[in-house]
Amino acid sequence: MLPALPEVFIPVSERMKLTAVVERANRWAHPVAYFLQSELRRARFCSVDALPPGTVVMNGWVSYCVDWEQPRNLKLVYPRDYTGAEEQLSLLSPLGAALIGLRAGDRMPFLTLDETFRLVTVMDAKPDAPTFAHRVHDGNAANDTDDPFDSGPHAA
Amino acid sequence: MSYQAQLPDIVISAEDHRRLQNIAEAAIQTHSDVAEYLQEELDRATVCSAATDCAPGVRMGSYVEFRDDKTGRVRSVQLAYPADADPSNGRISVLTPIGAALIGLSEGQSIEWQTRSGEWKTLTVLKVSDRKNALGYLDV
Repeated sequence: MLPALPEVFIPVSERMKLTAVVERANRWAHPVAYFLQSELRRARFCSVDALPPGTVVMNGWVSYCVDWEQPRNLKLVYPRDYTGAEEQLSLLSPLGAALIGLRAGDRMPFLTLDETFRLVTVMDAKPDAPTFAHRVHDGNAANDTDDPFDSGPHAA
Repeated sequence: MSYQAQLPDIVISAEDHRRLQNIAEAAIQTHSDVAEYLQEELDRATVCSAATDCAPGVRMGSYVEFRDDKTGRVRSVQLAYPADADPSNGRISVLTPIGAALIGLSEGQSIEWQTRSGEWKTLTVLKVSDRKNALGYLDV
């Protein structure tokens, strides 16, 4: 028998932004939309103060291990803040959606885009890691088109 | 709908094909022109899976270097899902004329495509690189 899925804890202050990500992902039939939506549905939204220590939060850093591979340390970011930098992990990815709200020690199965089941183990999570140099994003929403030469689908 | 007498053969993986079908259907009401174009490309594509012995061309998340044959300008982009698109970081949505033109192409192939303003252009794929850290997916 499979063990129960680990609980998901999310600061209530992130709820609207996360809901907007899911809505946009659903509207454009993103392959991770359903998984992220199901994780948010079972999440417990709580105040930042009530968040258990070692919880993976948005814009926070997470150390994790996938199956038996080398541990990695990445920053979990909203899709619109994802620049492609190597230290970033988009929330709208199978691994990002699996990690949000988990705590150090949790293990969570997820399905990759190549449709393979993998198991991620959270080793550590911090709201921020000032010792890590990382790119500061200006959050400029004006770039939210699909092609520099054509106007395309936009975020609402 | 193309001037091109013989469209280039395109090869799409079964996973991409299924997901792109969902995207084309989701967009058919709101972005009918490009959704129809994407649908035409999906309909004429060779679909490959583990069971078939073929290699897909440009995939979702692939990095593509291509040339605009009219201007000679070379661009590098990553082919992205519409919800992930961010041209300022080089991620071009598959639900744009140029994105839908790129899917499934292999190196050396050329395709004609029509901009939203109606202008016909030709692009040639110079290089396709596999997905490393594709769209934050890390291909784990």
